[in-house]
Amino acid sequence: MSSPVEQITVVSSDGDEFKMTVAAAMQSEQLKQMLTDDSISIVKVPVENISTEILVKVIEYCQKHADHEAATKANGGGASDSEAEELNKWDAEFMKVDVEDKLFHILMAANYLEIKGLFDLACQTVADLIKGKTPKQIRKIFNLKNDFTPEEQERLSRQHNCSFD
Amino acid sequence: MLRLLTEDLLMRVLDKLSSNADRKSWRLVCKEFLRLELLTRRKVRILRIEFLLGLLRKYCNIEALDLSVCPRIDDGAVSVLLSHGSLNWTKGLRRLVLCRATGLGYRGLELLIRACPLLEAIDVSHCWGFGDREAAVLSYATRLTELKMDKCLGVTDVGLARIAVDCSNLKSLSLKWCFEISDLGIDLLCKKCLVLEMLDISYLKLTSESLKSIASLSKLELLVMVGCSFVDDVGLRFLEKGCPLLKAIDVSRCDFVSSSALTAIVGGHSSLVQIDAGYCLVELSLSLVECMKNLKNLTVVRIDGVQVSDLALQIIGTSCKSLLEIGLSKCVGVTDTGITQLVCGCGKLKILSLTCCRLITDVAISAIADSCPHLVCLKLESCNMVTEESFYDLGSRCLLLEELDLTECSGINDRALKYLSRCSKLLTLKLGLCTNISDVGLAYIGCNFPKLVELDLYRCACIGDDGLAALATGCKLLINLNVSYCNRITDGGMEYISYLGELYELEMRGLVNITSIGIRKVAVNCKRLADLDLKHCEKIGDPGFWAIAFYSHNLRQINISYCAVSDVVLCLLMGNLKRLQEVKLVNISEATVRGLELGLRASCGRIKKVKLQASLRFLLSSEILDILHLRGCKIRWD
Repeated sequence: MSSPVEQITVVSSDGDEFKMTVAAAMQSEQLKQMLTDDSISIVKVPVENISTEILVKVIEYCQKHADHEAATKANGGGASDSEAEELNKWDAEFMKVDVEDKLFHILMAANYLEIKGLFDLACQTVADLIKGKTPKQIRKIFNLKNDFTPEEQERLSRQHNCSFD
Repeated sequence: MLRLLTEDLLMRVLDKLSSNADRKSWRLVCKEFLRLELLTRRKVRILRIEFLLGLLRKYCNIEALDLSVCPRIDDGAVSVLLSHGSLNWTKGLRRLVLCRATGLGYRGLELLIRACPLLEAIDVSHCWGFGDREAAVLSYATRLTELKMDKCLGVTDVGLARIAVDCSNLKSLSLKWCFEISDLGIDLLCKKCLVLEMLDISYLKLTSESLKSIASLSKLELLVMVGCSFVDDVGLRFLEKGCPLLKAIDVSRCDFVSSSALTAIVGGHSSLVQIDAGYCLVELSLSLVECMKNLKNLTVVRIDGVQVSDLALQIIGTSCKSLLEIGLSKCVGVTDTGITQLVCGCGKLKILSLTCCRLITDVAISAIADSCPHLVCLKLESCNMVTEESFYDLGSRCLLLEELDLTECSGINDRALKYLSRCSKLLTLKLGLCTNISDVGLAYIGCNFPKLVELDLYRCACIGDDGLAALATGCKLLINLNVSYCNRITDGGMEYISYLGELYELEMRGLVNITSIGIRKVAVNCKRLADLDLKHCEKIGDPGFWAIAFYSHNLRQINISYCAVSDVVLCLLMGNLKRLQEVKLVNISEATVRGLELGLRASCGRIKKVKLQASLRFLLSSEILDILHLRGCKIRWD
């Protein structure tokens, strides 16, 4: 029977180590599995495809949300409207990253570590980036090449306005 | 090509894009994105029958198919559709929308239903020719949980019985306007479909006996019985002890229902969330209001046309704190005091309708602004004592406003629009008959409301081309615009309107200064235009209509009554516009009877509704009238 662990250490792909409280780690389904499985006594968790920069952000998210959950429990149940709104505001600020690539990396990290809240938030943020943009602008965001021929593009455009919704 | 995200992650992002415009942009990005969109698309609404086969072949994962705006859907088309190509799309289809598919008959319907084994929801509303044969075919969809049969005029108790017996899993059924249904049919329905949660029996000739049967539906949550004029208090009282899970009831326009019966129902169902009792109660009795106090979850109350008192409104204000929507349209006795006391307690209010509450002044509006910061929709049609003064408060406090109806509020002027500068979420603005609104006001609109989607400027006679320029620059998302009878608008103004790329509906009746030049610009540039009303635009000539016939491919509805269109161009219009389904052709000055006939013939099979002047009834050949009727087209004689 392993003694209760207060903190775990996660190691980024760059080799840097970061400490995370158990509560924060439980935000990730992956880490939660490892922690609740008594047969594994892991204290250092390597996360190979997450760089230091991204890991720092992910840990920040997990900690904030773990704190929020603890505060809610202490108040005996449901979060008040204003607290929920505050958390949403924090989330919105959190997702303001300077480079879109960072956003994609956060999305992938959230997917890998199975952090549902962060994953949904990141998906929504990427979707919001796309909303209202032209195809050319979307290509720029994802760094993609246009592989349609001009005729194909014309045909698709026409289809859009004429054939279905 | 640097792509970090896997297909799975991309699909999750795509899931969050709900607007069609965004999905269309996504499709045009690259081939991979197009492929993903094809895989993930769950619903498709077909606009043209020519593309039906091809589209369904590509979109094989769809769950919902909407053919309601696709012309020429008839038995033959369905037969061809189901005999060609892979039918993967039928395997997963759950929802089928066929409303107004008046060309479809029981044969085609049967083919469709038999091909789609997982069908759960079907909408055949407004297929006015449907009767018991079609109802029998609908009963083959045994997994059906949702069925809408509004205005299927031929359906009788016999047809309803087939559905009731075979589709016993029905949860939601709408029989609005199916006049042939009687108490017997409803009785059998209630004995067989025991899990019904939603039932709409509006306008049916049912008596109180039906309510006795309905009371036995233990899972019923929503009962809609608008205009059931043969039901009275006796019938309604059956519900007092029945339908324990009732959450919402609509007894609007039931002439013989009174407050006491409604009070009994309210008393017996403390979980009621929504009450609609417009135009049936004479007055909002205090006993009813007292009963409403016990409804802790009451969210929506709509009591249009009822006599109310300040005291009643005060009681509602103090006790029903969870109210999100209140409808007092055309109510008598609504005063500033009453409204102030009402909104004082209802701080969560989102929707408030005070249409035709003519006694309301700025005092009430300021009170609303003070108490209801979450207000999303405010309807003040005909409240002509309201002025721009109170809009200062409204514009400072109610920043979440999305819909504002100020039709016929003659006290409103340009400055009111200036005061609303912070209400940037506004989507719908109705200023019909507000004669004090000028180009200055439109400039404010252009500046303040970038998300505006619908704008009604009916008979705002002071607006002109400059105002439209401001609109075109600021409100690029406009979909619906009404500038009827705004006679200062010239062809220059039309050019500005043509810059509105998303425009879908344009109503411009009586614009006597517009010529072909102006309308041509709109036809060429507003590619999504589907609904165009040009009644009395008498200066537009053939070149203008020719441009419409050539460029406005998306047009579904057009009104060219009292316009000068010649035979040739009329035929071109009717023949070329493949999506055209509703036309109004009253008194077209340059067309002859022969020309009209040819035009109607050219669009036969596609057209669903046509309006013609009464004198033509005897001049048009009976052959053409028969063909039109056979193909599911309704003719209205003016």
